[in-house]
Amino acid sequence: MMATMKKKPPPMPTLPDQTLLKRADVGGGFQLIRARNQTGWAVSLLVAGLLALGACEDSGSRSLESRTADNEAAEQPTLSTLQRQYESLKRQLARQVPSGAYIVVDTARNHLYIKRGKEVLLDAVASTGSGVILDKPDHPGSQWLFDTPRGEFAVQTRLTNPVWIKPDWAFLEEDQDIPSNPADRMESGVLGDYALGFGKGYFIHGTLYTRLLGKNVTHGCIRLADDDLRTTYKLAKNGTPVMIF
Amino acid sequence: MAGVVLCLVPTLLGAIQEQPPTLPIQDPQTLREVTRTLEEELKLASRPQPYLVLDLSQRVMLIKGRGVILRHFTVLDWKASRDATGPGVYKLRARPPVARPKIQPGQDSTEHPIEVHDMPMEYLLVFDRDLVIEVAPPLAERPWHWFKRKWLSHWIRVRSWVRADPAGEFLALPPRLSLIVPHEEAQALAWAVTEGMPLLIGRTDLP
Repeated sequence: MMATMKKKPPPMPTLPDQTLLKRADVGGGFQLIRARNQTGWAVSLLVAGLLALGACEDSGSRSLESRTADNEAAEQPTLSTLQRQYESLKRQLARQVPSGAYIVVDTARNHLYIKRGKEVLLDAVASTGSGVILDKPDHPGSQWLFDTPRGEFAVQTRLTNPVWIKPDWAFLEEDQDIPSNPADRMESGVLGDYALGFGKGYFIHGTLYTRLLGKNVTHGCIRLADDDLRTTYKLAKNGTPVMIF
Repeated sequence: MAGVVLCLVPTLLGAIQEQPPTLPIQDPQTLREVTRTLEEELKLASRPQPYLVLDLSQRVMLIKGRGVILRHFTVLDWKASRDATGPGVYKLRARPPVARPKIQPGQDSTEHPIEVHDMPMEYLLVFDRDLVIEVAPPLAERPWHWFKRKWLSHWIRVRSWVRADPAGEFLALPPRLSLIVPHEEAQALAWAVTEGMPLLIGRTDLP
């Protein structure tokens, strides 16, 4: 028969004011634990106040290095080992950069860039999503949100002389009835000479409203001026990455 | 003569191979921190999603995708609770809220768009793995907001001490990092971040 032994916990150091300072199990920060003794309460607050006044904070004027140094003192690879590891990681990271041309869209500045490596092949003024909302009339609680999607996409389709198939919201915006005949949705000559689709119905295309370039006015697509659209069409192939932020 | 040269070739090649590469970072501690950041970044860069990199030692926040810097934000100053600046990857829970205009049928959607200057310049970014980043412009740009923020910050701290749980422990605040950023960049950052966006805190090798 095995006797059950209860291991006695090691005594915790106590401060004169009976306030205990213990290192938290998760997060590594210090937590104050109130002593049951009511007389320690005021002193606890005083200690807490001192901590709040800066004892528990780092700031931009201090270095971060000292904090991590303690943990790693035991395992110190040589400088040359570290340098080789660094070089190897840099090479691996460089391999993540798209090998050919890629498109970057800055929706805050309304600019579209085409880059190859660090070289900028095109810097074009664009128009991106307006961010406004329109309620769907026959779906209560459901809405259209006219935002340009953020993230990484790829060019999926390359069209010449594209025809716009007007969605429902385009008719609602013009206060028109939504047509039942699909042919009534076709509108040519409004998207410019080219359109590059990057998924979910979003395109990079031209515009008749060139005065609005540089502004957030679209329903989510990315509009370009004619010359910039032509260059984009030439440089971007199917599969060209499109990074939007 | 040719024999001597031939004998020296392997020795010379060996010496070239053993020579460590000449790098701008010669301090082992810095190199270790940079290497650790690179290891984490490599994982993020292999995914088709932009990510944030915060380097407090260089005072910079970057938006990157596939290892490419997409946008650079200057951090003028920072302050952190002791456990908030450790290296690691965090995940943004939500974008800062913004009031989106609603248009009615027959109304032009281009009339009142949301633009970057409609974004807040003072906000909290709440991350999974318990990290809160407070972004604000410098005192000189918004003095009243600066005092309000300071007061609010102290009030939250005092409340956490006073409202102890039944076991007698004070409510622990999540690790908190305050970044002072020029107001245009604070707004651009609020615009650029997306829900679920990863944040890597660590030292970079930016020159």
